[in-house]
Amino acid sequence: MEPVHNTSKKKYVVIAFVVLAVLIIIVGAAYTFMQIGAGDDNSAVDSTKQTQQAADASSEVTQQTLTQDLKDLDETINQSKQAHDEAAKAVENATKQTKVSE
Amino acid sequence: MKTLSLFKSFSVLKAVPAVAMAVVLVSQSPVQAQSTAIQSQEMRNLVSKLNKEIDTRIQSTDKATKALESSNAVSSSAKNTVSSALNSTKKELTDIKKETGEVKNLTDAKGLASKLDSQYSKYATSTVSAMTLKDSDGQQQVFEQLQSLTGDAQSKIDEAGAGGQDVGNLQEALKGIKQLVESIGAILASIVALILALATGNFTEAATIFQAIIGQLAQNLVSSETAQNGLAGIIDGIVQLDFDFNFSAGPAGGSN
Repeated sequence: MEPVHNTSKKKYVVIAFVVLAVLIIIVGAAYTFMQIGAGDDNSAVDSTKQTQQAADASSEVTQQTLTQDLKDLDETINQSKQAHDEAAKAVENATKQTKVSE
Repeated sequence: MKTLSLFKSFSVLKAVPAVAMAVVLVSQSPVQAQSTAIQSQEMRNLVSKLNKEIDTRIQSTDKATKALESSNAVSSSAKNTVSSALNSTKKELTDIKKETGEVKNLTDAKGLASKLDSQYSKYATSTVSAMTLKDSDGQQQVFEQLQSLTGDAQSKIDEAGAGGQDVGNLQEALKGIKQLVESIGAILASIVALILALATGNFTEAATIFQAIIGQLAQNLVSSETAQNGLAGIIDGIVQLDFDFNFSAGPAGGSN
C-alpha cells in the first residue's frame, strides 16, 4: 500500500502534464492562426498592389484604348441596330391583329 | 252525302300537311346530317386556326422573354415587371391551347376564339414592351460607352491643353458631343419609364405610344451615331496634336 502523499503527488503530476499539454496546444494553435493571419495580410497587400496597378493601368488612357473603345462602340451600335429593327418589327406586327373569331 | 263530302275534304286537308311534313322530315334528315358534318369541319378548321395562332403567340412570347433576359443595362425591377407580364401571357396561352383539345362542338370553338381575341391585348403589350425594352437596353450600352469615351477624350484634351497646345476647337467640339450624349441618356431614361408604365396596360390604347417610342429610339440611334462620328473626329484631332504624343507615360515616349 502506497502512502497517501505519494498518490496525491502523482495526481498533481498528471494534472500538471494535462495543463502543459493544453497550453502547448493553445500556443500552437495561436501561432498557426498568426501565421495564417500574416499570410492573409500578405495576400491582402498583394491584392491591394494588384488592384492599384490595375487602377493605374486603367487610368492611363492610351491612343490604343481610345481606338479600341471606338471599335467596341461601333460593334455595340450595330447590335443595338439589330435590337431596334426587331423591336420595330414587333410593334408593327402587333398593330396588325388578325381576329381568330372572324 | 254532304257529310261524307265534308269528311272527305277534312281528310284531304289533314293529309296534305301530314304528307308534306313527312316529305320535309325525310328530306331534312340528310340535310341535317350534312349540316352536322359541315359544322364539325368548321369546328376542326377553327381549332386548327386557334392552335396556329396560339403557337405563333407562344413563339413570340418566348422570343421576347429571351430578349429581355439578355438585357444587361436594364434594371432588375424593370425586367421583373415585364417578365411577370410575359409569364402570365404565356400561361394564359398555354391554358387556352389545352382547352382547344377539349372542344366538342363549333360553339365551344367559337367561344375559345373570342377568348383568344380578347387575350391579344395582353400578349401584344407584354411582348412589345419586352422588345422595346431590349432595344432601349442596347442603346443604354451605347450611351454608357459614349460617356466613357467622351470622358477619356476630355482627359486627353485637358492633358494636351496643360502641355500648352491649342485645344480650343477640340474642347468646343467635345462640348457639343457631351450635350448630345446627355440628351441621349435623358431620352432613354424617359423611354424606359414610359415602357414600364405601358407594360401591363391595354395595347389598343398604347399602340400609338409604342409606335412613337420606336420612332424616338430610331432618332436616338441616329444621335448616337452622330456622337460616335464626332468622337472619331476628335480622337483623330487628339492624335494630330503637335505634342510628344504619349498617352500613358508623359512626354517624349510616343509608345502609342
